[in-house]
Amino acid sequence: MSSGPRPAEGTVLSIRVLFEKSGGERYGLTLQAFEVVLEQVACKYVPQAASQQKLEFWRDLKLEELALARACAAGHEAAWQAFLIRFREKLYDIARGITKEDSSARDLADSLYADLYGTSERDGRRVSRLNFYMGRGSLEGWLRTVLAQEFVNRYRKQKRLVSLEEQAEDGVQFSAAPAGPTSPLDSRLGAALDEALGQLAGEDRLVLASYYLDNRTLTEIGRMIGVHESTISRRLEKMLKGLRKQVMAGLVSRGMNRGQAEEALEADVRYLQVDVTRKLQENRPAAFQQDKGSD
Amino acid sequence: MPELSNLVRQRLAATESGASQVHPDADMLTAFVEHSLPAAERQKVVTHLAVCGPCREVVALSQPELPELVTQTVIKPAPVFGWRRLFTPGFGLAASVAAMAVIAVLVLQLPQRTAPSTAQNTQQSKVAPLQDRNSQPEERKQVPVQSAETQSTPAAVAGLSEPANERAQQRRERTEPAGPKAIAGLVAPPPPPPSKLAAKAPVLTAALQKKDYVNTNFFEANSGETITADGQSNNDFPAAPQPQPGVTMNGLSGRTTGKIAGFSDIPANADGKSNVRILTPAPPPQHFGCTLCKMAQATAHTLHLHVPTAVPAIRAGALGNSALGGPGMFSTTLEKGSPAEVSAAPEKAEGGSLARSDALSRGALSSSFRSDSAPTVWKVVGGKLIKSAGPSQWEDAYPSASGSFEFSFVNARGNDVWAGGSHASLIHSRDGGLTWEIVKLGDAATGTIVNIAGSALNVQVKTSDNQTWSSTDGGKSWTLRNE
Repeated sequence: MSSGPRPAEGTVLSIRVLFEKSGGERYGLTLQAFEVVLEQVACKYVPQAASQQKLEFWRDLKLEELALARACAAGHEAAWQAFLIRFREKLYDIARGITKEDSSARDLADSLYADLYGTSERDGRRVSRLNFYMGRGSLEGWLRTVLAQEFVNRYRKQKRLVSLEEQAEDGVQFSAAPAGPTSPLDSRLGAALDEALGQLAGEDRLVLASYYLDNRTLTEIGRMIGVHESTISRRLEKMLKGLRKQVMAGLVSRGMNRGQAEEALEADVRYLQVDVTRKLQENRPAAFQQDKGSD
Repeated sequence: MPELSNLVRQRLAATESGASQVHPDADMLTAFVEHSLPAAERQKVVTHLAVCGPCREVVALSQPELPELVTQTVIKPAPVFGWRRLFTPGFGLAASVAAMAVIAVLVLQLPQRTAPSTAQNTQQSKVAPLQDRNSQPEERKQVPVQSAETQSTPAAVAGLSEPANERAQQRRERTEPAGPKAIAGLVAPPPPPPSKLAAKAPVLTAALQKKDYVNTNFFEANSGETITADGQSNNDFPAAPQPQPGVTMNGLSGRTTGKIAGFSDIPANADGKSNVRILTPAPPPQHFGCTLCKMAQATAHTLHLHVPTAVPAIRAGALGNSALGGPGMFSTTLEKGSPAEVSAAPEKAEGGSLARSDALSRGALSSSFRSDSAPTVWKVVGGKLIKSAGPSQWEDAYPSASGSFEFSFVNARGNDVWAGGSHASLIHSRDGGLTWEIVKLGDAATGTIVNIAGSALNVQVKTSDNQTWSSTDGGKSWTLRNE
């Protein structure tokens, strides 16, 4: 293991306190190993921080779960027993919640177990995925995120593999060539809209993308942002009103009068309805969700 | 604004295609999902999520599953609106308590509301016949004045204004034929059927008018007219009350020799103790279907049977309120100032109080109140325990205590008498003082007994040394509660 610069005396005392708080000794972890882990985490997220800032950063970590994960990665038996007791069934439940199907959920969970145990070797050493857990969030949440990432990756891999028989059954060979854009979008309208969207805050843009692109419900968006769904509803309505005002103002500033701006918006709607569908099918990564139920 | 929504959707998708491919790691996304990221890092993640569909998908899948909303909805009780809240458990309990309180108030108040008019008439009018019987002109003059103050019935006033000789003659005519009938009715217990009872009502009433000054005046007050001697009044009298032994006892004793004669043949009361119940007039007409009235009558009847024997045999308050359960019936305090007070208690049975009473003559009461029905009054005077042996007659109830200790307190409930004195001395009699047993409180008992309370089995004794001894077995064993 790599060791960073030697910490100050006060920092060592604090690390000892953090180590006792983590309970790493129960899992067979030593103070030195724990100190190395903390330094790794600090180097990744607060590389330029001073000792005191690092201490404050470390205090916010999930120390107990970090020690458990790293002890498992180091191959301590006691840690694995504790991990299995705490997370074995939970991992299957999480996978089932993601895949909505038992067999694929068990397959997903088992593959993650293999990754967590470390089937691959690097430089003669077994590499466990638990080594990438940094303690920023809970270990259960991290496992959930890792499972979701694995699920998304699997889906994207499988999406590239298309069965020719299935395509033939779907009648792809008889389908007409996709028509190109018949009435291109007015560049002034696109520029005005891009300008308005660019002025939105990141969270507002996330709300719009989740609602219009991912077809998330207000409840799901509210949970993601951490607000109530009614707040999301109000924000959406307010944002659309503001966007319309800004787009109208942008169109007017680009040489249109108000009537022309209104006409441009309404005329493009018919075109955009078809175009948006195509764009979503092509560009939207989250579109797999519409099909995953049929897989 | 559907057109704008489509525009936004299209432009958002167009900008996402050029999103940065540097994604936040699983730790960052986990911290974002758990809302534990610092503001700066959170802003970075949000900015990335706004343009990165896969990361949004991962974040959406990483959200912990919501609790089963369906189950929550089922478990959650449906809201209750309006008056139906009264039937929810909390309000239902309060409503039940309130309803019980209202019923209790009605039960207790209903007899008292209906009693005053009857009681007033009965108490005031009952004086007249007795005064007439004594044939004392002075008293007779007082009666109309007193009656005129309260009774507004013209017939009653007219009846009282008749010449004394005529009334005396009339009453002799009334009494002599009616008396045997009443006695016969009493000796023969089976009551007549309601129709016959109603037919005989004037006769019985006439008989009782001289013998039972209570019932007679009750009917006088109710009828509004003076009952004639021959029972020929055309009034629709209520059903005459069933003559009771107690009534007859007093009436006979006053009419005949003034001694208790032939009472062994008279059946005892229902409980053998209560002597108030027998003087009660007939209950008021029952309100069919009125549950509250039935409850009130049932309560009054129950209370009658539990009147302690210490209550005087005939007491104005009890008579005045009759069976309706007025306050005087259950009062244990004697109304000394009442002119119509007739009491068998020693304080009331003295000649002075009888003389002050406008209701009974001394001769009529002298022997009758010496009967067994008069309760014994217990006193501690000068360290001695005395009990009433008759009007103004007292006798030493426990002479063997003279010199050994001094009595300080006595508590008598019928024949159950407890008396205590100095040196924590305690005696107990179960037969009204005929025999006594010395009760030993305990070796630690000291001081003078200052209070004895309790019922037959549960007795509590307090001494002047702040000792409280209690017994739950009628005095067989005692326990010192505190000192």
